[in-house]
Amino acid sequence: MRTARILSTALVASLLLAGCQRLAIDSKEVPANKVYFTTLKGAKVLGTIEETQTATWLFWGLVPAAQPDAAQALNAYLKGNQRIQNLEIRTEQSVVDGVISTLTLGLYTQRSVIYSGEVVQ
Amino acid sequence: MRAMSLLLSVSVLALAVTGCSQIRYAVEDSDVPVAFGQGKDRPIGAESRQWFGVASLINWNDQFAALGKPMPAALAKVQRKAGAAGGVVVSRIDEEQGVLDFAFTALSSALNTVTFGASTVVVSGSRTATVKASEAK
Repeated sequence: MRTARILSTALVASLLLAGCQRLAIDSKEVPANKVYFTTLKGAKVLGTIEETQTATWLFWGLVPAAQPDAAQALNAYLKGNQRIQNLEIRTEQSVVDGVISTLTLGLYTQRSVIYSGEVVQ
Repeated sequence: MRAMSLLLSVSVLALAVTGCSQIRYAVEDSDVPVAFGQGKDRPIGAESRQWFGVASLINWNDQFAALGKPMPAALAKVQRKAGAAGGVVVSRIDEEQGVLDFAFTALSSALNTVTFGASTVVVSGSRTATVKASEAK
């Protein structure tokens, strides 16, 4: 009984102190002047992008297991002098994410990161 | 009781279709170009912390966008600091469920349980987003 109380106190304390489900979308490794959230003037649209990555955590979001990699999602569309415009990044808990988190009682949680935009030249 | 069941069914269906706790980082109607990358030219730090939390049964998709828009807020901050910026570079977006988010989410979950799901129409939890941006000229 005492062990359970100590464990639950430690869990709540760590959640309060550390925060949980920390997620970072970093532009490291994304080439400079290639990706824009805005519309580029005079650019010709070649296609659209839609990439989904999954951020995962262990132990109720306290320990990050996998973080999104923006460069991996975007760099494949930046061949030659191609650029990306109207970039939109969304993070959400999809149905699958919710079901997995619920089934594992939060021991394993995940959140989807979706990149969309237009490839232009 | 029948109304409650109907409300719950609609909630579950809405969640199944749209996902939940969505946060959207996008820029609309900006006069200056906003890039995603490493700001090298004239970096000035700017962070914007926003809270999200009001849910709407009609608009589940934007449920966390109701209380703030992290990207425009960060841009405004950068532009205030930099004067007339010729461009802005967003280098990093951080998102987490911090202490107050955790408390708010726990409270809303408890409310949700007590009211058999009815409170999810009003509250659903919160997350904090921080956008780091700099001026690029």
